[in-house]
Amino acid sequence: MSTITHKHVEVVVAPDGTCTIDAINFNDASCTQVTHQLAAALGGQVIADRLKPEAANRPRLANRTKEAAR
Amino acid sequence: MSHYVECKPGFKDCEAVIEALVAVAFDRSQVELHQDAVVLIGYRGDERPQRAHIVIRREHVGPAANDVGWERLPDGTYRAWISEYDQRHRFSEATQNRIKQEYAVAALTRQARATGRTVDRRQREDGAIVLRIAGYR
Repeated sequence: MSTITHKHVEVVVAPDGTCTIDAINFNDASCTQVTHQLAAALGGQVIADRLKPEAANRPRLANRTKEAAR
Repeated sequence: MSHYVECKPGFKDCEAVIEALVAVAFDRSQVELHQDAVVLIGYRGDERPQRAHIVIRREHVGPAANDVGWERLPDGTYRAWISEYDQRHRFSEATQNRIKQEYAVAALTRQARATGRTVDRRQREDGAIVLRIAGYR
């Protein structure tokens, strides 16, 4: 699991060429555009395509500090 | 928000196909790229019915081998022409999978760099390659 907090894309290319493209830490719908652009560059067949709500925005650090100060 | 796509690569970017062939087994000088498809030659020097735009001549493939090629189809993707003999020798399933893997790495890296991103490549112990693409605002 990635611990980087800025926007990035992690692609795992399996030994048979199958790719999983995961846009991480995006805070808007551009993540879908980014993954679709990369998938299109591969020119192949999409097997699975989904949003991951469980990976939605992390709480902002500033909010966490405010919460702690309450 | 996060988005996840799983896909199998198809060969579409000819430069990435060539990069993959070079990464797996061949010298760049052994890979021919043609604007118009050329005839593939068999192990006896006979012309095969298949034509291709990306070609590795049989002398670079191995003893008793046939030319191997990738033909650009009307939809822009490339289909491989690899004889049964060569699939049992130089272009085994494992080698073809390695070509697919290196193709995916090359195609993604080229796409990412063309849009100003940085790409970090890491090899995992299980044989998978992990690309971390950064530079998104």
